[in-house]
Amino acid sequence: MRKGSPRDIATLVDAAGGELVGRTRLQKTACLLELVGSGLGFRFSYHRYGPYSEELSIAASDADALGYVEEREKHAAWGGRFSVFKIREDGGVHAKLGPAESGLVKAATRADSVELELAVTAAFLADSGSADPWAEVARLKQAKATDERLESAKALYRKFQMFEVPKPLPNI
Amino acid sequence: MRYIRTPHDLDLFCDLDDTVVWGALPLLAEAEDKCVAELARRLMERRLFKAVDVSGILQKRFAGEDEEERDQKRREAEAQIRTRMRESGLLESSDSSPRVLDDVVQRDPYRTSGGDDAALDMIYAVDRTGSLQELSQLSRVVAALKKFETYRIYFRREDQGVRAELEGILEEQVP
Repeated sequence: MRKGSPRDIATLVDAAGGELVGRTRLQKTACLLELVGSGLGFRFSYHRYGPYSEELSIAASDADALGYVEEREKHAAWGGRFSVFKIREDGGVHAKLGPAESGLVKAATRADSVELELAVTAAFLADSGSADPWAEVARLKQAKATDERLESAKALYRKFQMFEVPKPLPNI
Repeated sequence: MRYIRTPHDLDLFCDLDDTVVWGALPLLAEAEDKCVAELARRLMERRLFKAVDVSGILQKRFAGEDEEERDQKRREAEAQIRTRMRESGLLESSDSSPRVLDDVVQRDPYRTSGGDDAALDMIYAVDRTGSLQELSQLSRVVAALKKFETYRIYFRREDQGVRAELEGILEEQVP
């Protein structure tokens, strides 16, 4: 099986348009690619905030250390910090994603971060065999999964389903 | 066995502790799965893997540099070593027990980064003026807390071929 590498982080950020905001968004976007059969080779398991890959987290740090992307921490208005990944001009984009995958990545990076998290978590739970992924998302993420946000997340999920990918997302 | 048969039973899960695992080792050592059998037998016979503290070696190597420079060089060297490890095939797993393992241990005593979710981990306190402040804004000690991270590689100490290969990979980054 192919294994994800720091170069793949550059590929992902490149597909996002050269900039990707947030480590959580990076995680969910990469997970989405795995779920549709176009993954970069990162293994995901359910973590505190949904699907998470330790390998991806390390590869993102390595991609910055090796100069493929630049990771900058910025201060949010609420006091915390978040990461912004940018392609370096002299960096290492050695591979490009296909048009469908690039479209999917762009849709994920433009989406609201909470709606993306809910939609990808539902997709991940469905892939893991959950009988009712949306109900499970609502139970697991009570603070975030308001009725309104769940509806928006479902709309985002349907948008993801429109891309022609090797393994289409199931109807849930 | 009861846990394996019903893995979602939380009461059974709570009954699992180190004594249960240690007690099961003789059975696990007879398992059909070669990886499980080999690792169980090694634990029973205390033939543990040898750990290589890669971060420690790199910190010593760059000891003369200032802190920021040292940290950057260590991160770059670790990333190179991880890449070489992946390319070498040493970490490939099969149905027998692994020849080499690696991991990154992270301890983050107080997290202020990580996007929206970090807000759930942050502590807020009322300052002398009565306004709410995030704790690292009020305390230099808290502000100075940093994430601890170390990269380790483990190998079978009797495997001289792997030892030589690992030494070669480390030597490329730590001449």
